[in-house]
Amino acid sequence: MRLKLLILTLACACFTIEALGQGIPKRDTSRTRAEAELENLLEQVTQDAEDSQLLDLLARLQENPLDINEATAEELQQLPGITSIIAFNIISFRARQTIRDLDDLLQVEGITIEMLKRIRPFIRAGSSEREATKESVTSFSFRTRAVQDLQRRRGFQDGTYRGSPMKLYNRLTGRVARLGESLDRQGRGRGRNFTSFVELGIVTEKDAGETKVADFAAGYLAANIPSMSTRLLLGDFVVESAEGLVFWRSMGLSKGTEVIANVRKNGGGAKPYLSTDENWYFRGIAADVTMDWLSLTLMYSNKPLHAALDSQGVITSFDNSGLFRTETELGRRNQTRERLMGIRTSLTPLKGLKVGLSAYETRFAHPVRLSSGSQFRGQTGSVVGVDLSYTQRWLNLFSEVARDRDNKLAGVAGILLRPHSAVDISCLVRSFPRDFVSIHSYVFGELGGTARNESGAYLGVSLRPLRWLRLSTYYDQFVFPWRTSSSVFPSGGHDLLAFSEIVLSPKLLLQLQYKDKSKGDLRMTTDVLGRLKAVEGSRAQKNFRATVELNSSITFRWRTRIEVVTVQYPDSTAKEKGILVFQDVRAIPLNRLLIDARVIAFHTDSYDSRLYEFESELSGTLSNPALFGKGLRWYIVARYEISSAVDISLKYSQTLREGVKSIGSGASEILGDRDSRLSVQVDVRI
Amino acid sequence: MVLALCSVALASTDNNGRGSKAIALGNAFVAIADNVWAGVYNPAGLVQLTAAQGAAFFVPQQFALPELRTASLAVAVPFSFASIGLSIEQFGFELYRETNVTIAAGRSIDWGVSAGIALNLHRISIERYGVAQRVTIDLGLLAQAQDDLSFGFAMKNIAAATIGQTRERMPQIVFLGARYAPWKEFQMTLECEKDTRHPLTVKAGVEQRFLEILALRLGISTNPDKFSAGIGARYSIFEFSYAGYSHPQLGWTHQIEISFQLGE
Repeated sequence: MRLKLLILTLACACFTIEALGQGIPKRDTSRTRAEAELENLLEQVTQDAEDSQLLDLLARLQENPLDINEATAEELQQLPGITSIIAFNIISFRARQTIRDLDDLLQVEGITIEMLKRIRPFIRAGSSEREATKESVTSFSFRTRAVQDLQRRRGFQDGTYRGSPMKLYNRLTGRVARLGESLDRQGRGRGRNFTSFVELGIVTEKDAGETKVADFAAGYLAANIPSMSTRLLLGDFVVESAEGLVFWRSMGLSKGTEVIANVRKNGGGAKPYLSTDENWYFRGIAADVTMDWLSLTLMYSNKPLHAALDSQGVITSFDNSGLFRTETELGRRNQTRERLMGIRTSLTPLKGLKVGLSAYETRFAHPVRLSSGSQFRGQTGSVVGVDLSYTQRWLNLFSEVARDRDNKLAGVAGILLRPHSAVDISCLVRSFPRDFVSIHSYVFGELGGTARNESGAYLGVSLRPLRWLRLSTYYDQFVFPWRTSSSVFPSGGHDLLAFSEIVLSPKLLLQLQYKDKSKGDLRMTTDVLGRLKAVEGSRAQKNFRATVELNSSITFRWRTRIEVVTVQYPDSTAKEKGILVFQDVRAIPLNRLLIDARVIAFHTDSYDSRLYEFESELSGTLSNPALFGKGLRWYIVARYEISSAVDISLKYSQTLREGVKSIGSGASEILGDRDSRLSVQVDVRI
Repeated sequence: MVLALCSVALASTDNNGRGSKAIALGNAFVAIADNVWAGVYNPAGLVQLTAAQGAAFFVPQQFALPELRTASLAVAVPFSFASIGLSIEQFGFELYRETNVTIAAGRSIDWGVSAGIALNLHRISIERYGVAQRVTIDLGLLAQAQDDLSFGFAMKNIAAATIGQTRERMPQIVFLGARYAPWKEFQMTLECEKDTRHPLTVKAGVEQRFLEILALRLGISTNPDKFSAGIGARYSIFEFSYAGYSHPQLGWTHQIEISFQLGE
């Protein structure tokens, strides 16, 4: 079956063979090492969230690095750790002189050696020497991955799941870029560079238990036409705009150790979509026009959605899981459609000042009356948002205000400040009414990105008082004016993070992190007489984490972590506790082989005191499993470069839960205390 | 009674350690592991041996119960390709007896890191119930971060082996430790031990040596809270050492060891 699929995909490739090809951009590190860096970085930026779309964006950037002389402010801000202030400084710098070498960036105010090291894989300064003599550069990459659980889940034994237990993923991307003499914005010649490109991507996925190999399929075709300053996108895409009140991809960065850069969202317009989150993206056409003072994105989308409909044809819930393994699940597949027209435009009348507008009008094929929550109702919706941003050398002010169909107003406003080269401050206030409806938004906040029923204020400070010390902290206070999933009453809480990174020696790093979160909670308990009662109060969670990292050489990393959590509920004085320790080793014992292995021991009182650890995975995937109960988990990832064009990678992981008879519940239950998984991936690049 | 003893015993062999030095340091030995018992604590530590060593270790009675006695013998030899250690231990009395044989090998790899592996044969015989035996595998790593700082990692029973007809899982334990030696005659160590069945144990130990012949050691550990202390004295190629630890409920346990080293 795999073979058939491969042939099928290759046939697709031949279809557009003209549009394919490219050299892998030259790196100073080997590919193996670059992959490892990417994972390192993701752990820093994403914390506890599994933002696979971010991974895709970064992987795309790694394959097609941004030209530091051409990139817009929005594009620069996609780079990890680059705030709007630094992006502004880069643009001011390159207006004075063309950046011929990436090390020139160190002259830009605010860019440190560590920061340059982090962003280096994603940027380039002009085309590489190898490419300089060619007319065009073509590239082509193909990835196929198979994941298999080694224990049989109940659903496969009793026939609830109709498909095979293997998970399959295939991805194909191709790009042809034309090279020519490029001019900078003042009309000065800057040497040969990419002038236009056509790009194509296809992804298919079959989850465990699904029947079809291409159960999920997405794809796009993108073209850049420089003479008209236009980029066209056909197929699947996501749109990011401003602070995410109107448009954002379905995931985003939120609170984490990156206390400054994550606060601003900095949307970059329409982006190709090649992830496997199956519901809320767009399918249709998008056009971007970018000029010096104006950028305009127009889009039209008509996309099927997975939903449950009642007998009158009313949508009662949307299915965001993307799993179609059982009859019930298959019954929700593509049950309705969303048709959307949208616009995103921004003007730059003065240097540093930007005014933007985002708006869309959407219509579902069926009326929506969700059985839970006070979300979207009816059949049509529209949101209009305006945003304003002002940036200069040490300051960025930004805000976005949006109005929904029922004239409810929601808003975000914030400041980034850089009063001194060792000090960064961020501040953000937000207000989202309880009945504000914006279905394509993802905002900075406490409720998983939902722009509803929340107001709050956030302050983040990052300091580098000494060369060997970095301190970051944020404090966020929030109020939910209406009921939330954890409390039926209006509630609120706070969130505090203190993070320090201490460089003990050039090889040795110590990270300490303390997190204190308190959030309104309602618990049902029984009193001494056995009567049920509700106790309203706060759920307080405190996490402390210490990590030691030893980098003996560029090819060896040793990492030890201990993390402790306590959770306290309003109804009891007793605390639930959890602890996690791990030992991690990453080594490149042979030139083309990378081994990454970890052993994790965990012990928590309950699921509530669960702990997470961000794991190394096969390229292009993330995993951040929740560990609870008592037990042991370990994994080993091996990646081998068979040739300059072909990589093979493998992961084996196993979780052993002490003293349980089964893991999971329902159809995905595994009998026994062991859950192991094998994944294999092949990457081909031409 | 046999059942009760059994659970005490199964837990005790793994937690009470071998060798007076390790026990006096609160059993925090994964990041030190520099003597003949390294094969039991962290097989990677065997590479630190500069000459062949041998030792005999005896616990006359544990918690003042003569039935819980332990006798162990160990030898370790550094070869050019790897350092090899062998130890044998017998615990218990006629009604309940545990025998453990450990073969361990450690080797320097690269980056200042050494790795080791140990195979253990466990044999439990309970009178009138019969005999069960099983082989388990341990893994160890030792990283020299700086001259004065090293990190150790060890895991017992990596393959999650079980023993007996009831398929009771042999303990799986993860050890993580650091050793810091700010000056030549002094070292301290901190260690976490996580047995998958039990809460985390934190252990710490300090050692001060005097004139190369005398060593004083102190240690503490949690879950249950234990204090330990010991002394070692060197004469010619021999070292005589004593260690004792206190259990909050069960009182003191004493152990003695004699070891030798052939060459420097």
